[in-house]
Amino acid sequence: MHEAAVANAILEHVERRLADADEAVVASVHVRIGEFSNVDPESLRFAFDSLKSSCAICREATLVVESAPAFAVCSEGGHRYRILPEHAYRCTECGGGISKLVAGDELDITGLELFAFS
Amino acid sequence: MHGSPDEHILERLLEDNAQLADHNREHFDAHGVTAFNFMSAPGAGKTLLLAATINALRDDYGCLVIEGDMVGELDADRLRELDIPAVQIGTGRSCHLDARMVARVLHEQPLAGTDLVFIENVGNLVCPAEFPLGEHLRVVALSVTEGDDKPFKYPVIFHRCDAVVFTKCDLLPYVDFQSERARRFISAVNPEARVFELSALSGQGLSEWTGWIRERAGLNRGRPAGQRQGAGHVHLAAG
Repeated sequence: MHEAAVANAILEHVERRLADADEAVVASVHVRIGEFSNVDPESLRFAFDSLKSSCAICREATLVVESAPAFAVCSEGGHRYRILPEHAYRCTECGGGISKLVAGDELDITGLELFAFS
Repeated sequence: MHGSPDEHILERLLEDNAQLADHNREHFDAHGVTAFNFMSAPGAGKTLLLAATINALRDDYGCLVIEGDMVGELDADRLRELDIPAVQIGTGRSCHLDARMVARVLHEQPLAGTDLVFIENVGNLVCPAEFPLGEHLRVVALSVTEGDDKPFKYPVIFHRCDAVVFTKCDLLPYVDFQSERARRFISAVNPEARVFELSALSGQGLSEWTGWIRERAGLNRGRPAGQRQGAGHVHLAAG
């Protein structure tokens, strides 16, 4: 549901970043979304497409979402492990839980592609 | 179609919210206030839990509730009827509170005489997890009528909290909720989380829970006076 808020944050970032770039038209915006965040890539794309007309330079833009896998340090043996629901989010070596999230909570904007005019 | 972007950047998307949350926390700290963010699914019993909690603490602590709901003031009214100071935030169509909404309240709400601020988020186990508000501690309420598998289904919010409160435990004889199973799911995503089992209605388990709040409240109350503004009121000793 809050994907709309995240999509708005993306548009605001782009607008702010390109505020001084004359005649820039955005072709694509790249974002990285962690698997252990509550943002759904498909919903985010839908929200972005619904809202992008509010940002003049983004009207033509495509949102490119990269999913980032989630990793943790486990609470029992200190192992680094991939967090997966099929393992109930536990360490496959020793069954420990998430002591520290190492990756997977990213909500980052990672790149911009502009249309080239010549 | 889209290869690598022309311009590589790395910015956190919800950075504006994070910065405002930091600002809110500084505001709380300056007033010696400990702030809690209460989150749960709709109907888990957050408001009743807050009423029972504050009733147990109010002789020793000045308490304020900031209520977040999409529509209306029903929850704030419920608390005001119990003489609990409550400010309502209407989130409109937003499914969560954000730091800006809380900042707006804090600019108008004097905190002198307040030791504990309880922020009741919009009922939702998904969105509020992504929006810190400036709280010191995060609490997730899980009612036994919702089922013991919620921490597995909504791992992020249970990962990002300090305590989980099983509410409506007076109904345990009537529902299929296995506390041990719920605890196992929680320990996978958050081994450090404290888990409490209580009924705000009957009062069972309440004192252990409020004991935890008292411990945590002490953290900010113990700050040197020089670091606290607006703290001219007398603090009673915690019982």
